[in-house]
Amino acid sequence: MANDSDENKPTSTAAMTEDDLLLQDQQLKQIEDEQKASPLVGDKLPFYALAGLYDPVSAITFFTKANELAAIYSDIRFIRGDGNCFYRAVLVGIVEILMKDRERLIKFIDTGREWMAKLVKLGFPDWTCSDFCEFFIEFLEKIRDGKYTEAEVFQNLNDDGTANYLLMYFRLITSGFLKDNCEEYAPFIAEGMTLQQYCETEIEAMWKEADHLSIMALVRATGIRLRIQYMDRSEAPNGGYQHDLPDEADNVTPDITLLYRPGHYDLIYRNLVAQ
Amino acid sequence: MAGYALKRLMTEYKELTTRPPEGIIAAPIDEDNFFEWECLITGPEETCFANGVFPARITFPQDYPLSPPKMRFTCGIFHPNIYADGRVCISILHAPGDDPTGYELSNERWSPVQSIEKILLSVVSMLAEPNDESPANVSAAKMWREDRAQFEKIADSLVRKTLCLPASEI
Repeated sequence: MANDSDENKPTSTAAMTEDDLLLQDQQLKQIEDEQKASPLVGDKLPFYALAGLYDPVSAITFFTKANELAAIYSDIRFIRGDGNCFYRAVLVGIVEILMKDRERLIKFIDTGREWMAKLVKLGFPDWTCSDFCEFFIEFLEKIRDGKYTEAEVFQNLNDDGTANYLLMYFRLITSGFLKDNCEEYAPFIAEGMTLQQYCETEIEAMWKEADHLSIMALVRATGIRLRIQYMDRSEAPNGGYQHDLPDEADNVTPDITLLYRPGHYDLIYRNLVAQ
Repeated sequence: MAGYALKRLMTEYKELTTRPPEGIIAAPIDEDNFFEWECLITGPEETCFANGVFPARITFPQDYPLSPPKMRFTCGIFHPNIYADGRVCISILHAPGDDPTGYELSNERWSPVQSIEKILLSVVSMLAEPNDESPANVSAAKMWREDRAQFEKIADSLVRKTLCLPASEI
């Protein structure tokens, strides 16, 4: 669960024979089948479920940290590790907020329309791009108009086709934000690639993991406050290291908190009683 | 899941029939199955494939457009970027990170905002300008580089074949 698919995909350095291609297809299929064994978006589980993933003896560092975090966080939603986990966790987090906050929902629908026009202006292919934006806007409108129960919303978020169409909206606005702020972000792109190429190959394509630049872009494009709680091997006290975006502002409650384990993001919820 | 793919394929079909790109015809083989298309591509002018009309099949996955389709020429075309069995090997048909020949440029990869039309236009460019750095057909790439006259002769005989003309007398 902690590894996303791209790490497992074989990267070829030389020309492959047809047999190699066939074998690669079979291996990819196997990885895909393993991923599909877990839901795209898990049910909300007590945070202790995380500690249960680690052996108290052989993985003592992670086990201890998971228990420390359980003092602060009450629940966790596991997200499928398919390379989309960052975008999916944000999608689910935002939809949960919008289901409870009508004013914000209406504003988000308006922003969706603004983005659709802006993306076309930025040079995105018109109707293929609008297709994803319209789909996302319609989904939010159905929530606004009370056409979906909460259970139905989560059914949609767990249906491959629907969920991945919704997710594409987030990939497109991430890419759109970077292209719109090209001068500011171009210096962060690795040499040998233009910002345009980076957006097309790393963000707009499905199943590609988000890196720091795309995370920043999505946070700013959506206007959310995001906290990333790191669960790595460092033995930091009090639950470990966390990072707030877009700015490190003390005492600002984030809208969404993600748990980062090497190569993977899950959605976590603060323990409201402890606050 | 296939519902979204179907809706998108129908939209693309409509786009391609109302605004067809020059020299290209593409449509589902059967109105009951939008996931299997046939297309006819005219060889680009001023190339050895000029005037030929090359038939190909495009097969779409159930999660199209999230994943790219596959394309295969059905006319036995001899070209550096087409496998012997007709499968087309160009970057736009591959998602980033999936690079069977290991030499593809990082641009023009498949992403869900690409379209069938973009693929077909890339295929036309590929016919005009083979990329011999990432050959799917090694002997075609070798001949393209070292014996252009022979390569053009083979192309010419295929062009004639697709037009049902007798073989060249040269």
